[in-house]
Amino acid sequence: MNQHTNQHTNRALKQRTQVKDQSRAAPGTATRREFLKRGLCMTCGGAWLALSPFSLALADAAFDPSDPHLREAYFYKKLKSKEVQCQTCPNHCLIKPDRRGKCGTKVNLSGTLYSISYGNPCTINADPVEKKPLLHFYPGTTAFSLAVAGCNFHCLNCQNWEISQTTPDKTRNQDLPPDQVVRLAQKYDCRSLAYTYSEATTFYEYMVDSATQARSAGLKNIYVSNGYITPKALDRLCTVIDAASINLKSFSDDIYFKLNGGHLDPVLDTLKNLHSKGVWLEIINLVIPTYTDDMEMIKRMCGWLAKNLGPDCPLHFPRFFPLYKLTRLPPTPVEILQKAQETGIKEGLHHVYVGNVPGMGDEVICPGCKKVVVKRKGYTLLSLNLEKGKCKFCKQAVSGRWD
Amino acid sequence: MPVPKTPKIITSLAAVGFSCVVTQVILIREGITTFGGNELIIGLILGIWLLSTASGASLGVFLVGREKAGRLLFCGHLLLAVIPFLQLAGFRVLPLLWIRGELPGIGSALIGSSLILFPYGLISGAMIPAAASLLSPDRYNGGHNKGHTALFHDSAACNSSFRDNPFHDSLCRDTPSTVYIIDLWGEVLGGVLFSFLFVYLFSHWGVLIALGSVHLMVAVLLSSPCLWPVPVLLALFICFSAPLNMATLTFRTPGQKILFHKNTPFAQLAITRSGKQINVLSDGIPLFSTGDYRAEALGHIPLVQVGAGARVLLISGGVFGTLSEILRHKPNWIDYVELDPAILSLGKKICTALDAPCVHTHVGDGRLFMKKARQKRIHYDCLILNLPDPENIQLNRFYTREFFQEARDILNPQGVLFFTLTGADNYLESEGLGLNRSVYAALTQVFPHVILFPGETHYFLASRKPLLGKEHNPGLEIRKKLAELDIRTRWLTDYQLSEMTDSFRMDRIGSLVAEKDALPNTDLSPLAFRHLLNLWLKKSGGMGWMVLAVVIVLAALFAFLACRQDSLLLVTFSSGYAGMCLELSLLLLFQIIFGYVYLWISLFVTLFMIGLGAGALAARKWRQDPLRQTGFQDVMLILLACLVLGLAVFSRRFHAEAFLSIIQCGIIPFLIFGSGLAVGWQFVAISHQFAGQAGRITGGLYLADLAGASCGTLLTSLFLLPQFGISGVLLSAALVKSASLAVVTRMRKAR
Repeated sequence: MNQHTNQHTNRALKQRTQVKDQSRAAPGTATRREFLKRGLCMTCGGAWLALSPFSLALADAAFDPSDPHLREAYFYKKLKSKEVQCQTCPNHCLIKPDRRGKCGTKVNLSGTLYSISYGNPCTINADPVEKKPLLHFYPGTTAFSLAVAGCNFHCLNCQNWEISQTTPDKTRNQDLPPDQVVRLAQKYDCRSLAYTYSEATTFYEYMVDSATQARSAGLKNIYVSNGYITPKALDRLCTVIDAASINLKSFSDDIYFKLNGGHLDPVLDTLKNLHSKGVWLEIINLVIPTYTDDMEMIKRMCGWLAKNLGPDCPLHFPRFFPLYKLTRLPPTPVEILQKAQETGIKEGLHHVYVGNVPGMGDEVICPGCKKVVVKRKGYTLLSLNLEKGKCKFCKQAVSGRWD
Repeated sequence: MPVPKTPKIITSLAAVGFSCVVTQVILIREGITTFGGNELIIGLILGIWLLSTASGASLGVFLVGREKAGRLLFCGHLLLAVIPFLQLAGFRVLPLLWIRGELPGIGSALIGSSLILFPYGLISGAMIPAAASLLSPDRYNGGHNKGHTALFHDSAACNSSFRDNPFHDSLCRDTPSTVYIIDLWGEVLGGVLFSFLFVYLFSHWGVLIALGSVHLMVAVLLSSPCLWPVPVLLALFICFSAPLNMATLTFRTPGQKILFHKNTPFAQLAITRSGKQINVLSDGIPLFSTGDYRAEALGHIPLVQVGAGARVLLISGGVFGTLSEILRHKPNWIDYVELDPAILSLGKKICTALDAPCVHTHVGDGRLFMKKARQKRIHYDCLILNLPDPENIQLNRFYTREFFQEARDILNPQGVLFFTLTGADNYLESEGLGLNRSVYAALTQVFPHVILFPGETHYFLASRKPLLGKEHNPGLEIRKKLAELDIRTRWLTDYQLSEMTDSFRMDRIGSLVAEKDALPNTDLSPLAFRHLLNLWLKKSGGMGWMVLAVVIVLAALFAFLACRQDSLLLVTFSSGYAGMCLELSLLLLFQIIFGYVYLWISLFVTLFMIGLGAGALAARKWRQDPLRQTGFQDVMLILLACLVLGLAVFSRRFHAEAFLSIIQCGIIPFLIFGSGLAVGWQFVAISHQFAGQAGRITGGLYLADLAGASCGTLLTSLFLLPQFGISGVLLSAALVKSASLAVVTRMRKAR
């Protein structure tokens, strides 16, 4: 049988050879060596391709210290070998010459640390102060709001990722030194200046200088921030700012690190410092489903706030909407926000608001008589029932800045 | 193990083809849900799939000389029965590996898809040369392959089957083409069954149970009774695995309870509950949640322009609040067009506005509906486009100059067009700006009066008449009109209106988007789609283009290494590339001219595969001078690319119904069939020029063909289509085929 098969096969092969006198050797005659060679070539090629463009992309742009948008950083430490350590925020970046810090806005030029975020805002607007959100700070007034690109966090749900997750050398900027900021704010009839949208701490030098000039001109200053700032830098800032809207992202260090790339404790220190220095403070805690919607955690947070900042510090629970990279979670259910509000009130806080929900968080209630002392629709002020900071109905003092 | 008889091997091959195509579609759909559904992700997953199958063919060539092909086939079927379940679960579990709720970047998609898809591709690809080696007469040639003869211990049965087999002669001569044709049969059957039956009747998990059963039955066919307990045990496992379907689905919806889940030809739809809130998700992305009133803007901004008693055309998304807001303006007639009928049935669960007497729902493509309306001379006062951003080429058709021209033709002289695009509250970065500029440029070339309201979402209003509020304060005008109609809003309150109509913001965005030299977004040059892909890549990490470049170069390197042994393999590679480019271009062109019609698209994909089979059969019949035939098919493919390009450029200039019908029912099907015919013909003509072991010939050719298709998919989806549009894709196919023709001409001269 085997012989028959072989004959048959040989005949078939012979016929085939006759048909194809020009036939070629079988392709893909791979040996083990060939197979390994291909694999090795692929791996090496891949590694080379992957690494070379990445290293190119990390190269820093050249900066000139005489550029008016560069300003020597106010807080940093010089180290050996022309290295420096930034002292503006708790990241405490160790920066080698010609390199930048984590925020991308501080650059080490020959052993001197420069901020590249000075007088070059990428966005300016005249916003209602309620948008910051500050509900107890001169209601119905306008805040001249500005931002320079950059942030020391990497929040996955950032609303302004276009300017926070980039650097000033990559955005379309305006040339607006501090004196012109003040002039523009006055032109647009603004009561205050708000350093907002991106992270104000990353353009600290510009903010401090602008705030100083604004204060001289009778304008108020609002610091809108994640609160990730060193105590030293905050101390100096507190001498020129009037209000702060601090985004307390979570009350868990683990979530802080996961979602925002930061830590909780420095933010809590900032809150205590701001409160002790008499800066008007409102706190924002975004309620993100499956992350910061745990009522136990919210309860602990509210307890801490009541104990350390007092019951009059307003707390906002805005509704989360899928944004930037955190797009696979639905918006926060409204009843969760209401539960959070109830929890805050039970823990002793007088002013707890729900945000980002139409028709909610529009009214300031007097903690004494529970009547509406500030009424709004959206961000538009409808009525103000306060006299010298006291409720018109029961004369109870309502915390805030009202004049 | 007994010798597999030829019909059994044929069954096995057909089962592999059948299962491969269905599994591929299912896993691509699951990948889209995990990673996001833009063109880059689809291209990346399909490219990886083809690349893994090509690697499998290479592995098969390597193995057939060393392993027992029959055993390899048997084990392959067992593995193909089980692995897809793990892959499906893998795609669903994958999001647990990164931060909950985070949209994964291109790097995660690349690594995740590769890890999940490669095992299946390697096995199914390796089974092709194994089956070929069993089908060919050289399997009995002990001198040629000792491994093979050792396999057939039951040589009596073997020889008898070999002698008595009526297909024997043809199988001996044409093993590679036989394998190719049988594999195609399986693929055609799988494609047709999935597109017209499975997708409507079963969940993905359910389809995999059916596929697994087919594989296990084939494994039983191929093996001796002593081995049957293995497939039987596996069959029990997969039959009882159904509860795992829902369990794995919940990984994608953290903190939510799934109330409803449905596969449709277009997406995986789900309704979930978080607390008291109801959420609607499409392919894992939240579309709508109760308590979200942003639809107010979509209804009121355009309707205050036209007043009560209007005739309105609403394209998509009406059940998520827009329809209810439009109804508050008391229109006379609303035509509401939705592509996916499942959205309408789902809408009945959450939206009562569908029952209003003036609402007329239509299932189909919005652009196609507009074409029909123009033919019927129906005119509207208001056209509301409520679609997602142009994140793929299909959606880009609704934001082009050509679309706006069609919209103008069905609008009354006083009518308004309204749509939205992604914006930014405070700063529009370069890609977002490019997106808005390209659409704005297209819009202003058609409509003389355009208003853009800025914000997180940009609202565009366009008309042939001056728009309300254009010269004055539009916010005030809208507010006044709403007050006149006694319409109270929750989200579109004073402040939202003030902000979006703030003159400072409006002037700023107006001056930014109205760049003089901005190129318009068009059907053939999809600039908006390109900018949106770049924006997505920026969001996903900034190094996106580098990752894509690395993928494309690695695929090309793989193809080069696979094909460098023989010039004819390079020709096969180019056929795989050109075939993919032509098929994709024709499908997209059809959508541009006629709209997205699921039935037609599925039929065209099937027609392409039938063309491949017909080409292969024709090449088997006419065997004279295969090298000449190879060159001839190169010329045919170049001509086809030029014809499709010509069709793309000129077809949109003619609107006569008869002419369009000829294109729809004659020219495009002919070109699709012709492309398949040329590619299939060339594959077999090339196979006729090789001699040696059938398994190796088949494996080598499959490797080259699939590597070409993979490069075609990756290069087209990741680079050519977003950057140069359909013209770029077709030109690249013509260039690649010209190079192939040069190679063939040189070979003929050398001969």
